[in-house]
Amino acid sequence: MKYSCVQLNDLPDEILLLIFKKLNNIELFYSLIGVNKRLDKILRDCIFTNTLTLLEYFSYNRIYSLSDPILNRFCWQILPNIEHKIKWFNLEASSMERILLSGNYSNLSGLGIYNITKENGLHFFTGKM
Amino acid sequence: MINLTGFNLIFYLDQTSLTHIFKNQISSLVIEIVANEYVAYEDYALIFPNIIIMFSNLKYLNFHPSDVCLQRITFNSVPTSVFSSTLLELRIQVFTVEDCLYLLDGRFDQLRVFNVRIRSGGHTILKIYKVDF
Repeated sequence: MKYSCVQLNDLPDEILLLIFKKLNNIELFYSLIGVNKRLDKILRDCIFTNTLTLLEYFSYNRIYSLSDPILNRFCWQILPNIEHKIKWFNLEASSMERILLSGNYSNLSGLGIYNITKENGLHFFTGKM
Repeated sequence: MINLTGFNLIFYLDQTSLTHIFKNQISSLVIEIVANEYVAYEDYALIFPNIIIMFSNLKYLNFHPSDVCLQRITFNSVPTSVFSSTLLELRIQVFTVEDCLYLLDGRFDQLRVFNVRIRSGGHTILKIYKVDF
């Protein structure tokens, strides 16, 4: 029985891909990026990196920024690793600035901005404070 | 309130560093403003034309995407100098039918899909596909 313990890293790439596809990509990145080179390589597949929704969605009009520890890990470790692969960001207005300034998103073509208030809306789109 | 003139719009554009970085590469934009936030019509009328001017390759714009969003804008103060030859699809909520006419006066000459919710006369959704001018 002592040899029957199969760990995540013992599974072949194809099986890991099948499992990962069923999970939330943000949680995958948060949990697994940086664990080892093999997992990093699998997670850099475009099915995970195309669209990143970096916000907490509970219901309509209850959208919040990710917590600071999660944002820190994304801005410092995760986003710089996949910056050129991201095509669409869904962001919460109060943390948008920080996320967009954390990398060089050369292939970003779509942006969803949620929870815009009067102040940050005027700031982003008119330069008015 | 600052007058909406071409000069002012360009002036704002130069001051916004963040959106400035992405203004040429963003082709799809979804904007959702907090529903219970009081925002004056004048401010909306300022944000919308600035988005059109700022994002020079914009093809898809969804302004207030949620159906239950209470906010809407009125366009009678948007200058005719605000136009786009790249915009293909516009989804928006407005206040009056006249606002639709302002948006469909030819300023978006490539527009193919126009999905608008008009709030003044109850709940009306108007969908126009393949607009030809």
